[in-house]
Amino acid sequence: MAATQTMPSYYDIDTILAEEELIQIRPSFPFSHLSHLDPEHRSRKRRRVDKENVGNANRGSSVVGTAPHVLEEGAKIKMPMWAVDRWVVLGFVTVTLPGVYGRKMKERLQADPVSVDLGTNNTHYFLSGLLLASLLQRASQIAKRHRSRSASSPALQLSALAQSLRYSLLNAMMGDRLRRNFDWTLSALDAMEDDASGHVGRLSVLEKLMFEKGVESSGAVVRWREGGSGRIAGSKVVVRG
Amino acid sequence: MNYATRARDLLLELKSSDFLPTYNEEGVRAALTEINHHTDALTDLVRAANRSQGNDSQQQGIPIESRPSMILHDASIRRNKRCLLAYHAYRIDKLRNLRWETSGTLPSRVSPLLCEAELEFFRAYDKLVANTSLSGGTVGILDYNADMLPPTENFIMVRVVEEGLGKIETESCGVVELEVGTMHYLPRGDVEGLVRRGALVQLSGEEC
Repeated sequence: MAATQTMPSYYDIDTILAEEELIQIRPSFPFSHLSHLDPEHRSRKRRRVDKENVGNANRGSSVVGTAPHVLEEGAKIKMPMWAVDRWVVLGFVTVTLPGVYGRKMKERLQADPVSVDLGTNNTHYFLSGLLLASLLQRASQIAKRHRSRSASSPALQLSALAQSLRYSLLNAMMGDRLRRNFDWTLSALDAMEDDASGHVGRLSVLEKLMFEKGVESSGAVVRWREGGSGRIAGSKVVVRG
Repeated sequence: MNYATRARDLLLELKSSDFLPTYNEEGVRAALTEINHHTDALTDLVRAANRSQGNDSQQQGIPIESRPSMILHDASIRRNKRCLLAYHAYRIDKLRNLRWETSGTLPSRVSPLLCEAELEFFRAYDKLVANTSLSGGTVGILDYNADMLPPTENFIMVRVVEEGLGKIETESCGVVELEVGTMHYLPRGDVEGLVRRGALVQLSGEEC
């Protein structure tokens, strides 16, 4: 039975930007008209033509070229997640997880989750990871359906990869990082006591959103304690202006 | 060929702005042009595939080698469309919230950020809310802008901080002239909108 999953909002900007995460893929067969996706295509083609020329010269035959603009099978390319979604689901490509979801990062997050900086280069770490896990899960379900009678090892592999990714993301997010984030939401309003900028700089987009909501709620509680609901709040746009 | 990079940049602009960035008409046009390019390329690929299918009677359906390219063009069209819709939906949501925050007055610093269609939307939405408030129905005339939070007192002390507000007519205090720096004890319902748009500042007990 398929696991129940919440669909991300179609209009959510963070979800859209999280889908820009680059994924390394390898085509399972030659792709026509897509040679430009492979940055090494030209040099590889030149090498092959040279080799063929040498071989043909030895045999005394003319040069025979390969099909034009073909992205070769097994070529290593990086593409945004949104662009490869259907390819992965249909099994047109094999996927390698991005380095940030690899063993090294997992170990760093396990050893000292609070000090890992996700705000500089991996701003959509959790969102992208969740979307990637969902993509792998969908691909495994399709693969299982198509190969129900034969051994479905690719489906099992994809499913295991998705589960392990989801588990590691959950562990990283729900542990000390979350606790520390909530602690900061309570004290961040008191700028004289604590400077939260260092902490906020290390957060991913999802964590930053939680932090902002937490600070907003803490502020609302303080305002309510002081003046109840009698005080009229000015428009945020006007206040910022 | 670009793959939805201009459309992505539009969303990055939104994320880097405090409220709203200036409407990027050039970026929107570039994304639309890209959609047209992908549509043309996809149409050409499908035609070519159909032609080769017609020539080769043994071939069934579109060759598998051509499918990834078609899928990528289709994904790019959908991606551009999603980014453009998200860009406009985000801006419209902000404007809708602004209408409730400022009771229908568009702050002067916001107008230059909007395109003509957005200004028209704001005016039309404001008119719609005003008409609904005045239409009455079974509950009589109801001002949806009044008392966004449950009030604790009928009168509040306010100080005028914006010039050129002139006079306002209140139900229980008659006509009041709002000069900059003056303080007034006025019915909450009559000045709530002015406080929310920053023309008046509500004073608490200690500040009076």
